[in-house]
Amino acid sequence: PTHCPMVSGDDLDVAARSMTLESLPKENLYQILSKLGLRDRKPVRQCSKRMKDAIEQSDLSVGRIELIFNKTNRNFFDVKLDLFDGDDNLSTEKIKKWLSELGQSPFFRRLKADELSITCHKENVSEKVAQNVTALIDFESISVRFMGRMQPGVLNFARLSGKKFESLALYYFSLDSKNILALPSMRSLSLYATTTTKGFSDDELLEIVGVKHKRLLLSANLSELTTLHHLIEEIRSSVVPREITINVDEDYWVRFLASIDLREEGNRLVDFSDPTSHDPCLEFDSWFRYFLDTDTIYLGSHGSSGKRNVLISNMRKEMTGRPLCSLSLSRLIS
Amino acid sequence: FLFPIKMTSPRMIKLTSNDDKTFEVERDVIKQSVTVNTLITDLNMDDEDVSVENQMAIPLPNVDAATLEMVITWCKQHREDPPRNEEEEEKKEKRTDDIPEWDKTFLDVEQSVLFALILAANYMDIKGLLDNCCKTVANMIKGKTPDEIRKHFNIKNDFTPEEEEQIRKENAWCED
Repeated sequence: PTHCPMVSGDDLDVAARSMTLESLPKENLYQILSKLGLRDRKPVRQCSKRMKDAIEQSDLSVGRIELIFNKTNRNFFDVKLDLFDGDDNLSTEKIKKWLSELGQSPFFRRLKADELSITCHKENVSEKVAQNVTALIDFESISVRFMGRMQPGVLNFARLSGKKFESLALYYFSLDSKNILALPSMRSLSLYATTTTKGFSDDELLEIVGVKHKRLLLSANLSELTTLHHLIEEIRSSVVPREITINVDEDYWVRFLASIDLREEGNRLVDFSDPTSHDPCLEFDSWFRYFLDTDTIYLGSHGSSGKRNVLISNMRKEMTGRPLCSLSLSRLIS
Repeated sequence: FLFPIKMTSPRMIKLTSNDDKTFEVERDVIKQSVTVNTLITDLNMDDEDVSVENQMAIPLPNVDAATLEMVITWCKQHREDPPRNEEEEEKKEKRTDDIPEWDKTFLDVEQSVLFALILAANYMDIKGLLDNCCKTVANMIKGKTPDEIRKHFNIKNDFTPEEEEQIRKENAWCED
């Protein structure tokens, strides 16, 4: 045979060379339109009936959706949705109405996002709103940024939505560790506390470290030097996250390193009061030994100091050949 | 003395366009088309010890010769590409600024040719080509007003004035 009999395409023959955008099959038109963000979908929808229908039947897929519960104007960007109020009292009813509009929006059949980011400036988000938001949008991970004191119910974004979360980030929050401990296990848990809020007590922090998350980020100004020692002990003795990020003040690192009783580890004790005059390689060696079971260590530091370069230099030397997947020193580098 | 050296020539596959032109293409090149690849496997064409002259041609009834030639050129250029990780590709799908330079030049063609390539890539199931073609068209749309889009793609405005007003109102809902 000179021809394969398997494909019979008589009914599929198309005059491909005379194709226009409008005459493309729906499937291909959707493929093109799915690459447009909301801003670019608007004018397409105004072009013709065919294009309007195509826009309304195609999904809008974005990388990140940001919901901001604030008193700002209602904006609706490709990757940022500002939940509008207009006055100081953002009521649940208003949000529900807005979300209802969002759900019936003619701009897409379905809104999909890799990440949903929620920022709350006030204690104004109830569990019900959380459910409404998460029910309307398909997303893979969530980060929640709270600028003020958080109602316990808000944390239920994660639980009540019924979604499986890849990651959760909490910023500027003040809550007890029980809420954190009640969270399901997820790939990444990032916790940012600042001095402007209460943050965690040392005991709470220790409890959180024991939570089984593959990646744990802690950013906190620890109140006691001993806390970090305890944290490390906790990490050693219990669950070892695959990644650990601990951001603390740079001077704190220096004081912390100086306070380690290295004699127990069989190393010499170095006075860190003037770190530029010593070679703290051995001490770093001892310290990093605590973390050897983790794949990645991030060490963060704030502020600027002449000690920084010495720290980096020694860390680099010491970390060479370590069985780690990666080491991030980004915040240390000026 | 010269000894004959046995050379292993690459296995060739015959493809026929809908205007009856036959192309010979290396098996390794056309494997990027899932449709053709599946046919070759299903028909045990890889196992046959048949010379290319006696080999059956795979008909592609949805693709004309000029388009098929372009498809083969694209496949040759991308023959060394690593296999696509669909999960990763789905994440990158939203981006339209990551078309490789070679593809940008290659796809800088008349719209009708580009649309024919989209149809061919879709039919032959060549995801990389289809994706880059769609991104190219999306880039043509981006940043344009409705009038500019109509002009660029020769689209006729078939809305009544009332319908236009209604759409404008709906669009205002998500004004910046």
